Amino acid sequence: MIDRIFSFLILCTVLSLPLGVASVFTGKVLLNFVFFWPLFMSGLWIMGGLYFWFYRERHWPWGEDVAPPELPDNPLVSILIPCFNEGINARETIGAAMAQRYENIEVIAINDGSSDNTADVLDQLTEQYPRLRVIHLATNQGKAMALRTGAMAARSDLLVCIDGDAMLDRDAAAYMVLPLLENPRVGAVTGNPRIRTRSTLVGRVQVGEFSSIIGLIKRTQRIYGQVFTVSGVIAAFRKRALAEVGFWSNDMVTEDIDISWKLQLQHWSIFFEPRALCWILMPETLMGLWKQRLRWAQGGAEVFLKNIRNIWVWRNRRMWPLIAEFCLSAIWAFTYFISLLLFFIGLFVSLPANLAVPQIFPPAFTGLLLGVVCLLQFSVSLMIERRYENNLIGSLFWIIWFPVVYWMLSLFTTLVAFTSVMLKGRNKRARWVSPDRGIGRIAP
Amino acid sequence: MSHPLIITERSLLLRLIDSLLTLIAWAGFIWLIYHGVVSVLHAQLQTGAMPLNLTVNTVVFYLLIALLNSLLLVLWAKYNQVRFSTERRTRREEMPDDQLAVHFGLTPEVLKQLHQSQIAVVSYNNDGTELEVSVKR
Repeated sequence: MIDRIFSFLILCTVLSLPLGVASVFTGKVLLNFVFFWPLFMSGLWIMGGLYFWFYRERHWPWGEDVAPPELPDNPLVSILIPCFNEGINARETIGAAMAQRYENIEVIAINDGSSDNTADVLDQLTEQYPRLRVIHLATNQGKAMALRTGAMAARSDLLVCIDGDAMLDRDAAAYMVLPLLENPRVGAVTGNPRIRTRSTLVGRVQVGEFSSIIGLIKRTQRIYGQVFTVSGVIAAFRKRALAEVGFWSNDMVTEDIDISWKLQLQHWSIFFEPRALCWILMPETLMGLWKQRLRWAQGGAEVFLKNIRNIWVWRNRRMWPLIAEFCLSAIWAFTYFISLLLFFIGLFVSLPANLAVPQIFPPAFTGLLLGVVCLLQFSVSLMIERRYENNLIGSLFWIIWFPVVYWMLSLFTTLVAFTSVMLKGRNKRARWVSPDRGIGRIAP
Repeated sequence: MSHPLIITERSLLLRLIDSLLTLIAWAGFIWLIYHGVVSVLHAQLQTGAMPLNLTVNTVVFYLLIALLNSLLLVLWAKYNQVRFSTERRTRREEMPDDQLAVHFGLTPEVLKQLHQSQIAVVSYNNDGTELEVSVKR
């Protein structure tokens, strides 16, 4: 009950903060925050991305002729692939995992009580690939439990976890575990997801978004030293670090954000490895994209609610900037919402002078500045990421959508997810949600 | 590696709509930049050089903030490099299988069987706290 009252109070604070600021100061202050917060974050991501590239990434060899990284002592690497209704994708996923140039691997596919032909497909694949192992869960348990079962079955301490519809690049597994072997304090590594589904505008916009925003955010967070979340679709873990934090939680909507926080709160570091490419399927319809991003936002809000009370101890101080950034982003969304509300109310009713929001578009100079910073962000991300995809410049035409899509999605998903998590609290048990995987992958 | 992209062929009309919408978005973006430049120049023509100076000052101010942010980030990164150049925490080197078995609620023998299996079935109870393992192959 206290939890519910607490989360309700947080929601009230976030809602009333913009109104309070507008009453004490003016509506213009709200608008300044709405325009300058993206500008501030964009500047930080550009600088973080550039520094990571300049200091580290540009020295790393990359290309067709580059040999796979050498792992000290040639350890066994376990690749875990939880599968729920992946009959249509499993062959491709397991084929790519088996084609790793680093040979000392075992691949464990965990069939999480699928209702399609995943079980048969996986059993057949064991004939083709002797190093493939299959665990069937008698009933559907959710991704967290499937991963936990995979970790239990794995013979190695080094786990590379990918989704059942993701294709590893030829050296991805080796790149993922190398930081774990070289740095004893690293508990997890997050890889570089690349989008395969590019048939619709929604699919193509995400190519720009993953390079220009997500890639730069990951690099910046890596420079800062703490990462908000690993990418659930491609992440490597040290099994004993997972054991120390009790493995993945089965009551969180996004197990990847939660495990990232659990590990870092126990002082395990998370590294970002851009050379660990993993080709993934993403939604290609607006509805699919909305559902996916809403789930991500809900996961973020759940982790925020779970940690907000116990994080204010000195030993967790390195996580404070991450939670501050989350809070400011949530406040940004609610401020934007309140500004829009005040603008539309102002069209019909005369509001007190300090509450009036005269316009919702950025003033000319700020608009110019936002545009220039966006262009700069495109250019920096293209310069950094072009080595991983030859035809990345071809996607430049579609990249115009990504700032709008990213910030608008962030706005609306935060509003809906934050409100719903604060009002409803967390789930008892999270189960699979079958996502949109592109228009060419709609199961018959 | 060749990029395993999936481009599902769609009707010409849908592709044209996508391209047209994107062209409109670019036009809007270019207008935003043009409008910004024109309004700054217009203000300069009306009231002399002051607004341009003001604008340049504003940009310089933003750039200084960006530089300060970067400086802080880089200094913090350097501090981290020094701070973590030696590992101060003692971490457990290995996690023995019998401890892992206890962690998962299994006997070491069953865990060993699971590790040796190629195909196995794991059944959990309703709340996921208890499990049974049967090895098929």
